[in-house]
Amino acid sequence: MIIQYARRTFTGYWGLPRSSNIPAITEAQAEALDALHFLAEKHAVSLDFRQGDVQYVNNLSIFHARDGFTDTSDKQYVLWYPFGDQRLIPC
Amino acid sequence: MALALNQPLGYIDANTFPLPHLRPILRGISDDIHNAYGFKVLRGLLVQRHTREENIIIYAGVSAHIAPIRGRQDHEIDGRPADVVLNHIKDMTATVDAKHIGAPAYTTEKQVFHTDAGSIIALMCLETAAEGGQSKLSSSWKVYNELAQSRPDLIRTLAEPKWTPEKYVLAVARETRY
Repeated sequence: MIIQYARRTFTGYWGLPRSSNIPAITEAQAEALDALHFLAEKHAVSLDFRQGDVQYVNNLSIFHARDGFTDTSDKQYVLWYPFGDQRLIPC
Repeated sequence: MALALNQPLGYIDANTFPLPHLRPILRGISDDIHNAYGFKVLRGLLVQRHTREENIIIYAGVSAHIAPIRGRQDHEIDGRPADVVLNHIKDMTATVDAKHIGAPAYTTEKQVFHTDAGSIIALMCLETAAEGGQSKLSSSWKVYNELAQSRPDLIRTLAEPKWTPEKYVLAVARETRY
């Protein structure tokens, strides 16, 4: 089973609200999105991610998230890119 | 690495960035990501000793041994064809008008659980926040199993083809592209 999912492609965000020329999500769809998020929160692990770390995550079977943060003179700065291997990913 | 500095970054792969002693461990990480836990954190890169470009080269070089196929996040910059691979995740709200920020990745706000593009995603931390900003992971298979048991109606809702995702045309925060 593969899940690819991002809430904001259905709900919009800030500078990119949901376009008015596509249908709004239904109540059932909104409830489904919320359920995904709350269950993911319930079973989440925190990585203690810090400067000099690189995390590699199976993007087809694991959700990822990031807590809000405050900066003072230290600025959180992360480089991200997607890639793949030729191994098959079991479902 | 001296050779890599004289070539375009796209030339970085396991051959141009050899790591003979580390490679077996990095291939083991690939195996773990595909067949075991599904995630791994590499720790201890001395990012503060290198320039931004050097850190990107190290990141790409090490990662090439874990997964050799690099994905592309966008196909253009400023209307010109380009292979945009890397994304800089940092708070842009001090310098960019909020109406140009379309994703929480470019703010200090939390990012709720999601997936991105590609079969593996990698995140390299160059600087840590003063407070908060923790990375969290959650098994989507676990979420699915619990939802299937408790609310199968929502599984049906998620599986039906009546979802209309946004098709983004505008590039968000172009200045973060390297």
